[in-house]
Amino acid sequence: MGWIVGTAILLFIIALFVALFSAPANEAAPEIDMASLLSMSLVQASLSTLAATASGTAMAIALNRLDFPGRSLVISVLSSAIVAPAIAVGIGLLAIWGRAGIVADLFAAFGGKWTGSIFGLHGTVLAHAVLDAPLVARILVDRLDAIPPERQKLGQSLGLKPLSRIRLLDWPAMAPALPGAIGLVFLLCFTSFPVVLLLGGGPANQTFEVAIYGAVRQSFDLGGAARLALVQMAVCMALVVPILLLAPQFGQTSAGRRHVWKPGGTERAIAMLIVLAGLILYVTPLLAPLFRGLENGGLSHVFASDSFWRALITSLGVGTLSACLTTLIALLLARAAAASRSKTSRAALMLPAYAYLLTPAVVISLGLFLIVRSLGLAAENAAPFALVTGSVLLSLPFALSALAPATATIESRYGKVLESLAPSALTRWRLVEWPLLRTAIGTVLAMAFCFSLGDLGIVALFGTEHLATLPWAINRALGAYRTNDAAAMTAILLVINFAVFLVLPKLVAGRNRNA
Amino acid sequence: MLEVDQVRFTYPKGTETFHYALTAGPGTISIISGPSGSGKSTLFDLIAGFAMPMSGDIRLSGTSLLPMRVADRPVSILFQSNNLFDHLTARQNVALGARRGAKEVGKLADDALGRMGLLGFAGQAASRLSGGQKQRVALARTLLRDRPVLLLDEPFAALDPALADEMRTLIHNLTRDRNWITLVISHLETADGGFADQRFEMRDGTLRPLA
Repeated sequence: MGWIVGTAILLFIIALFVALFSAPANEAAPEIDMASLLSMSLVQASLSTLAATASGTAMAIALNRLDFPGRSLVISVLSSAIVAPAIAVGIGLLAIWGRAGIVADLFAAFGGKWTGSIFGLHGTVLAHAVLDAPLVARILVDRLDAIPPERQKLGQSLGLKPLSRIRLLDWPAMAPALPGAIGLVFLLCFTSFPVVLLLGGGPANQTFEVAIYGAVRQSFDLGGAARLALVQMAVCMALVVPILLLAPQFGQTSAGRRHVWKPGGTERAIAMLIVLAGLILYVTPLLAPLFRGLENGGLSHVFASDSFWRALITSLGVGTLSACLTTLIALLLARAAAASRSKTSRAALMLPAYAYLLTPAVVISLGLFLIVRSLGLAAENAAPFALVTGSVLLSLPFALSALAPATATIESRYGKVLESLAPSALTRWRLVEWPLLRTAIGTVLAMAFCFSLGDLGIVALFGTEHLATLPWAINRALGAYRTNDAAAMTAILLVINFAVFLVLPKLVAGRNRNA
Repeated sequence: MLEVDQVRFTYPKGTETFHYALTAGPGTISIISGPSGSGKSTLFDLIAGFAMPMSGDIRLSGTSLLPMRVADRPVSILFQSNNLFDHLTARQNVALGARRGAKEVGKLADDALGRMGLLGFAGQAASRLSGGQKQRVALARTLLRDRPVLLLDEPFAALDPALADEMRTLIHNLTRDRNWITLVISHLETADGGFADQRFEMRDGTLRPLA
């Protein structure tokens, strides 16, 4: 079954590429300036990656130096960054720094006038730092906390100075994870869509994603959009794959008790300031829509709107369906890969799914859009299928990275026993796989649901007045200058998103949380 | 003289309280044995300053160690593993912690490595050394630091019997030559008991002398 699913995914990728290569051009469409688009995207992604990596690294080091009640809560908050919808952060930053934002209100309260603008390159970089610095911090703090306690004690006993501590203890622990983290952040920033759409401030700062969206939605230049998509994927591959392959493999881990080497007064105060600043940077844009949404009857206005309820039901339906399908497909692929004896067949099963890491949401959406058109279907009729398929493909790499190791462990530990006992598929699932995999399954379900719920990229080319998801409805409300409605819907999106991310894994894991 | 005087300690979320009392003189080796999790390593954490006692005192020649920062305590510590920074050379590892000019430290490090029979490996990355060589490099560093108290936490557990014997002899000689107070945590009682001047056992949360 896993092989059938794997083959289906591969065929779908081929269909997607064929569709991209054979997309019809619109001669009347304006010329696409590929060179300036590429250079702007690279500058934006590099600056964003630098900002996110630098602040995330500082945050991780600071957290590693501290031991306080609530530290694990702070780390959980950072973990939530992976599912924080980019559109919500964009709206949040607007709610703080926009012309009618909190900062402008504060200026007005003291008789001044806020003349700054969040739109432009600096706004995009700030939003990416908010979204991705917690991700970097989360990855690195795990590495730092896993430094063997003996080594920490040795450094402390030798009286290493702060910089020597970073060079000798922290750097070797972080270095193996950094290329991967930088590569991932670069990909996210290079292919960023909602943030640039909201805060980019015009064509001068747009990314490939926004240009693809514009080519389809505004000039209906499908050929141009496909060219943009192919160039974008080529750049992603050329830049990111070498980074990931060249990642150094030295490192150190420890599963034992963490030794907290608390620094002296000044260094500790700096660490506390960094953690506090990082939290404020991340949390305030997420809280701002909640406050703005509650103001001026925003929530009640939204609740009275039929289109909001339709968008919510569509989002929940697409989210639930794509979460279940993602989990099922990931399970089938992971099981088939674990049972496979040869490395080549394992790679053949997993690679197509991972290929989607390099294929951003708008490109998937464009591929689906082109396939639907070539089949002679109306985009509106195929939209629900496209939304679910796109969401599944987006979530699949993350789902596989969570499920594949657990499935491989079951196979290596119990494979021979299971082979000799030959239980029925149902018994095997009920007694062995479900108890051992339910924690990972809970995480995958929650992540896939949240990815789907917060995604604007897939719906961008299929969304209409009649078929809208919550992020699409938010985008439309912003476009119509209904900022209160946009903030209120963002608040609802955030509450559902984080509630599912926090509660669903625990519900599914049940009492077997550590299995 | 090292005195661990009626020291009491409980981990923040722990239920068991550990009690320690021990006296050890210069030039002696004391072996501390006991089951896993019985609190042997905690005693070292208290002496080295990684943990603070709830009550009692730890003194060296009558001076309390408790107000001192970890790096300032007159203590060198060696673990079963992870004593070296893998990406540094043997020489750089030995030189760490010595607060003198780079040239002088380099020469002293080479002297210390020479005494351990490892001068030929001075420029080699620690990651490329064998288990026994790594332990001897770590011991060379304690030579350079020359602190009067040496704490060895299961130092021979990862070594084969011949190497472990070689290390015991080295430590025995250094302890006598330098007048160090050496405390060794060991579960290899039969092998390690032979080179001990006194033996202790952690049992039921309390450190007790063995006859």
